[in-house]
Amino acid sequence: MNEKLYIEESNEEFDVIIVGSGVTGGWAAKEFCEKGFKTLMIERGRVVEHRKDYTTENTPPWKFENRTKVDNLLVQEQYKIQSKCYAFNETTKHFFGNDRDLPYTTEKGTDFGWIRSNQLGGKSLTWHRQSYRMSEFDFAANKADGYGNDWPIRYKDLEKWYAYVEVHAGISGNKDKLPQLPDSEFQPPFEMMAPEKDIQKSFAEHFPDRPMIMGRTAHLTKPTPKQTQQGRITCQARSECQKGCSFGAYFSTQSSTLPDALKTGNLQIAPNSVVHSLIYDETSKRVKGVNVVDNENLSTREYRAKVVFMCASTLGTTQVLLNTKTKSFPNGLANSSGVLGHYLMDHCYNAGASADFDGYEDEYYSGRRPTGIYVPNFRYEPSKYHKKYVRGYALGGGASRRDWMGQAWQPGVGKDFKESFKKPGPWNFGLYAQGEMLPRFDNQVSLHPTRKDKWGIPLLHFNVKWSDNEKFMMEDCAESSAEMLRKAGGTNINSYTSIDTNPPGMAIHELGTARMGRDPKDSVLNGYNQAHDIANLFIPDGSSYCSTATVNPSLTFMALTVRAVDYCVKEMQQRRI
Amino acid sequence: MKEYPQNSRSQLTRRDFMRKLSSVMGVTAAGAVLAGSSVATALAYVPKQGSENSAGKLFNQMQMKALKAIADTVFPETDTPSGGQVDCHGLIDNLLATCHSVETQQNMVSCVSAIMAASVNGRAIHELSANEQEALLNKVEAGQSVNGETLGHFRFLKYLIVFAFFTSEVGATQVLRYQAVPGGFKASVKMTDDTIAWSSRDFY
Repeated sequence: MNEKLYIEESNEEFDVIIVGSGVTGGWAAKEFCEKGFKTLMIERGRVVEHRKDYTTENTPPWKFENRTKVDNLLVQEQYKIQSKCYAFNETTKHFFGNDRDLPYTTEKGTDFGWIRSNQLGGKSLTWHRQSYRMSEFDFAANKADGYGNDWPIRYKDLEKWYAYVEVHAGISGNKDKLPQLPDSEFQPPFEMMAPEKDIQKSFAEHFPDRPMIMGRTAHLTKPTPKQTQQGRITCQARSECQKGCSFGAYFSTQSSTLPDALKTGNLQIAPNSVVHSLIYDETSKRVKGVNVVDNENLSTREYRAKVVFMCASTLGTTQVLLNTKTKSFPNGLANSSGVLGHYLMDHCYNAGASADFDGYEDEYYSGRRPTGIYVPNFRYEPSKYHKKYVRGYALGGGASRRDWMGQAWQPGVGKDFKESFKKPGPWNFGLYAQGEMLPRFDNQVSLHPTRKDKWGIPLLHFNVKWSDNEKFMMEDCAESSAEMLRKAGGTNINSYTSIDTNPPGMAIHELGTARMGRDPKDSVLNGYNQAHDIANLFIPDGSSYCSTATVNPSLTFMALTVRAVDYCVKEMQQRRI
Repeated sequence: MKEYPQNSRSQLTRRDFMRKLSSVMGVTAAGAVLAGSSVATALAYVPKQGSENSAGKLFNQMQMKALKAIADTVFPETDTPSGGQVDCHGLIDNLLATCHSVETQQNMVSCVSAIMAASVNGRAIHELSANEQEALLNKVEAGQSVNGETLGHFRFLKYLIVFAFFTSEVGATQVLRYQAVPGGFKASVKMTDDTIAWSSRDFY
């Protein structure tokens, strides 16, 4: 173990600086450290140590001040935006950012939900862990229908890197052999419940283009010897993941990548270090390091390195680049194309349907499955598009029996009513949209002209809207989901759309704003996540995306990161960097 | 002190699990995880006896008495304690005052007041017999003795009672079953007459 792991001041020139410690930052650190590079990981928030700092874990609701509910005054003053996240509550709020300290602005008539997770481990602690490869169709989509720029990479370019990260991280799932959703290197899948198995059969019969599979998730179901050696064990099905998991059963920086990086002795971490901007040398056309403002006392300092990897999350990374204005880059670093900040995307999770399913009265389950079922995008190429919109959506979902929280709304008082809670209620099964959002130039994030945060960094200003394409997609999804449930024998079918009330951002899959591309004139990064303009600057996080596809992005972040590190190391060895 | 049925079957499995866990994580870490955190515990609302004997943070004393009677009527004492016995009224008063909007607070106060006003022969709800209390709340729920707005508020109040009850230790572990560490997910467990529903959830 490195004796001086956490540093503040340093005059050393590191081989690599990694800004951010989440999914991508953790992977970049593991890879560089294991290849022998002196690596500095910079994290704007506090240190969170595996196990020790999961302070609410395994604590039942009656041991929380307000049974896991959060003080309303605190929400109004400090967590008004964060509290809109499904996972925000008293047991998890210490892993969310404080809106009071992290303000941003939105263009009149627009809205954006920016969920923050600023601590060591970042959102790798709070993510929902769904893990899917992007397909050949996803990487070809922009070219196929003309929306957005062509991805400079294809599935084949990422395939072996997916496999590489999956074996280490641990992904549970079933080999489904679907062209639109390539299989991963899997640990065994979670099981389907009895009604789910029948609904799966019904979909196969009535909607052969919409196979229903078990959700693939970054949980251990059969740990490898390496994972066991890391102190990770099989998922215990608490599904309280966002509190942190001392079992290390789900992938996080703390459970999976950081231990390997630490073992090498090559890693140092600068916590509480808010990166204000990058240091750029006009003569050599290289970044030299970063300017940092101390998170707590606001003092300033610099860190220097030969290479900088920006892993600060889509919007965090772009904010730093936009705030780095130099003589040759007056509109933001590496922004000769002018597209930096443009093409911001999220997924559209704004439609769905649910239904009751009669029967299965003797069927119950034990434990809380940390994943659901999944219907992959079935409109994955132009010939399969709906006539009213382009691209498509996947469906997440799952079955459960009504529990006490649902039963509470049933009529009745008294002994029989109380007794009714002892038996699980009827089965319900729901589907909800995971729709693709088109890349649009107008959906932009920029720096506010005057307002700054407490660290002196200009606020991000959002101008992002759903387009009619997403609206039509959600309307179709609500109708189609209801139809699927009807065909499967559901009753009391309810469908909904929420696109009018839910702004972009709330799927917490912000993507784009520093996109990859073949042409330096219309993209920031090349096919290795390397800045076209600056050879020693890499951005493997979500800002590099050209299109969202429908799948959850984190697994692809991992694959992009290890591939970028591999390329960077070879370039360094060839002395081109 | 009355004895209530307990879920005690978990002791052996817990020991086995500890042994396995300790071999991977070390004994101290494993013990700490399973013990839960002490940070939250220090702040927890502790159910107490007699919350209805004084004004709460939101409800006055008479309203607290009425709220206790409502909680006892929604969930009466059976072979397990009643809503009032696990201090649903005290918890709800605290919860509303701390975690809910002023509008919701006012709605709940006016709901309790409306139920108090729908008295039988000049007696408030807490002065009625159990049968009369149940009849009164059935009428409330059928929309017969209160207006539509109060009915909506009553449904939410009832939800709060259910929430307070099944997030209490007694409700979660003695009336229903609480799984702290399920030990894995089983998609199919055959129900028997003895099967009791889980109280534990991913999110509350």
